[in-house]
Amino acid sequence: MRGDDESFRRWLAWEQLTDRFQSKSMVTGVCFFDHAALSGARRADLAALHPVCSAGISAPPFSLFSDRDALFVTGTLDTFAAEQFRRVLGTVPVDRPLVVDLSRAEFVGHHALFILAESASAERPLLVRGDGNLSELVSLIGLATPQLRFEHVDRAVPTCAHCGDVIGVYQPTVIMLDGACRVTSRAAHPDAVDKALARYHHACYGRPSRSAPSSGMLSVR
Amino acid sequence: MRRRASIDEAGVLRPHDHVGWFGDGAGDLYSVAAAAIADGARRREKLMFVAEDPDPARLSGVDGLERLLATGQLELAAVDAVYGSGKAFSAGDQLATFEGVLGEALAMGTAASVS
Repeated sequence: MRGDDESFRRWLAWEQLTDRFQSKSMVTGVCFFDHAALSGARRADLAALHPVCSAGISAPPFSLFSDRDALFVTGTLDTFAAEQFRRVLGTVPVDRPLVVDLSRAEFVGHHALFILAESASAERPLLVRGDGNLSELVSLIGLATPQLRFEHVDRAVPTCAHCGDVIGVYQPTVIMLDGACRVTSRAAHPDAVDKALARYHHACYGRPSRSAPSSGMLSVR
Repeated sequence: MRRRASIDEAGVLRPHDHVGWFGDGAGDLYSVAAAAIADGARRREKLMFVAEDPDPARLSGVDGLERLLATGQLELAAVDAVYGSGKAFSAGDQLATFEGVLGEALAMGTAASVS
């Protein structure tokens, strides 16, 4: 972790190889990093490549991890994250065609799409998956090429079981999952919010309504 | 879909988790490793702990540590022995090592944890 930039890039490539391996096999891996031995940028890059991170670190703006046949991106790919996205994407192993699924990202700006386009080549074409908004953006800025293809996938936006409105990314959210209720947010635990049997705005939870429960165990994490 | 999460203890891991744990020094390392190993041992997983000069005495809080080591359910390995050193690092060799450990784990009828 104290090596030069090239060594660190090789390490990031390794993290992605082992991540792919762990995504496809019944393996659990824990990588321990000495906080004090790493620069902020290196901590952020390492955090972005681990789908599970220890609490207490600054959450990276986005995560990039293997699942099924694709690299999934969650979080935000905005202007501020662009340089890090370019850096991390540049370390993706080149041993197979690249499929990047943006359907679970909270926000994808045009900078990120240009960076993806730069990474596509005749030798390694890129397939990007995303929702209709992304499809429109790709079309608007004329990015589709033989090397960069786009595939539309639908994404369900979570809504509140009380009021029916969309639950915002950072809004405190009560979810019912695994027989218990807890408070979280889409930003903190997007998968848990997606998998929950029911979701409520924190302010809506417990209000008399057609569907919200009147009582329940609630643990705050 | 794999889970993406933030955790504050190492004893709550699930298969497919790839955890980045940011801690302070060897004390934290062994604390995290002991919790992950104890949890994996309860699930009867094959376990591998890779560290600079790994010291079993610092894992003494793990129940049945001697048995885990004696039966080979838990292996301790030095970083250099597994990852090589400096520019000798080879991702392909690395992956082969872990695939070998997974093969052993499956032969034992378990999954695998690597710390």
